[in-house]
Amino acid sequence: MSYSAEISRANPSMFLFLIDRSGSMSDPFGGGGGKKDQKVADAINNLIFNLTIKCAKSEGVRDYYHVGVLGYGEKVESALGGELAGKDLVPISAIADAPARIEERTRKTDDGAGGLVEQKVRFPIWFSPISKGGTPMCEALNKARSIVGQWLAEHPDCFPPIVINITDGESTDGNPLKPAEQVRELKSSDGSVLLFNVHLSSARSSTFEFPGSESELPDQYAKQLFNMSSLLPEHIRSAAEQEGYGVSEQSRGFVFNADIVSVIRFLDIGTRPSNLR
Amino acid sequence: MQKAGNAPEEYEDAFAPAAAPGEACQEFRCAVADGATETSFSGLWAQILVEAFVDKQLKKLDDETLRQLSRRWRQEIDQRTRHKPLPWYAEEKLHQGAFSSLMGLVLRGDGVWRALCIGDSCLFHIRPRQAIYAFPYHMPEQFNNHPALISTNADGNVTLKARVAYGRWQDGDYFLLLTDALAHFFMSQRHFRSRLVDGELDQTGFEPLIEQARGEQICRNDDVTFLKITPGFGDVPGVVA
Repeated sequence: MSYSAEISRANPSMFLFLIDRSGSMSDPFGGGGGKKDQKVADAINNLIFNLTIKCAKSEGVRDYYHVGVLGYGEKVESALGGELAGKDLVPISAIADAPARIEERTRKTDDGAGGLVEQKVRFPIWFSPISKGGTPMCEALNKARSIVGQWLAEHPDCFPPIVINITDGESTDGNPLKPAEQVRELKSSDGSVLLFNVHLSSARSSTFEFPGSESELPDQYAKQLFNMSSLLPEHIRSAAEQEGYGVSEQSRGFVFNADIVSVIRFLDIGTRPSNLR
Repeated sequence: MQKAGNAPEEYEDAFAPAAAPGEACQEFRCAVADGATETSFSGLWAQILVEAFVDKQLKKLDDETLRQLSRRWRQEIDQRTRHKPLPWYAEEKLHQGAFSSLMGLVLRGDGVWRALCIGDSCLFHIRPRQAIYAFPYHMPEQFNNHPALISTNADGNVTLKARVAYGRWQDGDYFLLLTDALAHFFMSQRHFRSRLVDGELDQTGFEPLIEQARGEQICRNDDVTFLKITPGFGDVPGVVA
């Protein structure tokens, strides 16, 4: 139980993203700058972007991970579109090759002579904002348990799957604590499944990243999501510490009105230079 | 030798020179480098660095030299990809740059050696039955998956510091240059160390031993490379490698 299994093409791991697409996601985001459904779309696009880049090499994208995206709102179903529609899990290379569209953006980058230069970059978009229906979080977690369970039966020695739930926290089909616990109870020979939660709330409050206690969290939904989240394994905690996060042994995979993309950096698929930003 | 499960062309370590010099020389230069897995075209960058070190184009870490080498790296990629535009993810990865370690050794005919190191590739100066000098690490606990490495992006090198070491060699001494997984294995496993130090291990014996060690999980599954350099004084003062 050490979270030390090699992540490779021969022994891949998996990510399952659960994205809340309920009607309440059309409410304003507490952190400002738009609605919650836009923030969910930004979060999932950014996570998949970073996961793809992590696995990209000169010859293509290496399938270190298989990835699923489960939307929950009016229905609980795979949110993948195009030729991936309806599939629960696909290799990361298939997602990399199938964004819905690619936008062109500009960013400032080092010109190699001490200055900055504007550079055009291509930014893929897989998911657009959707908000309709209730928030069947329990059903989504049960479906996640089924998908992850199937994966583990086929990959018993993999680095434990990571499930990331992005939501405004207000489940409408019951208390999600028990279904969350059942997801976390699944395990490979290398450790238990990690369930992390991203809470995008309308509440105007400070942001929280990997808190160790629920005491300062702003509302009951945040506290519930905190309690649904896995404790950070030691190596993730240590990587987070090196990046300047204030974490403790009680820190959980939970963020409030913040992004969780750093978790992808914390996973090792080989040498990652400390001076790579 | 590439990481188990990878194709030979996915080997991202590098070494130079490719063969021992055939005659005595006043100065002999050699190097190993380890391109970082999480960056792309890092094997190419590692190869450019070792060749530059051996060709005396890279004597110290200065901005201008690294800029020139980085330009060479980019030109080579442009050449390789000119008929096939890169997909969005390969282009984005390229913006992050390539990263590599470097361990370079210079042996002089007057018995002086010096080494330049960035990252976690290691040098061992061995005087049989007497001493082993290890540089820059001397304990297995010093290795981790996040060393600071030489980047093709100038801003990645701002805080980078090269480490240097020097000493004297004598007849009968030899030097090992090892990339990180092998250096860690060398430090932590006495039987492997003995076989290398006693000179028992050649290329033929090396690969089965590493495969077995990877299977037993006592050697990390990574590309592995070693150079063994045995200098000697010839008829004229010089280094024979």
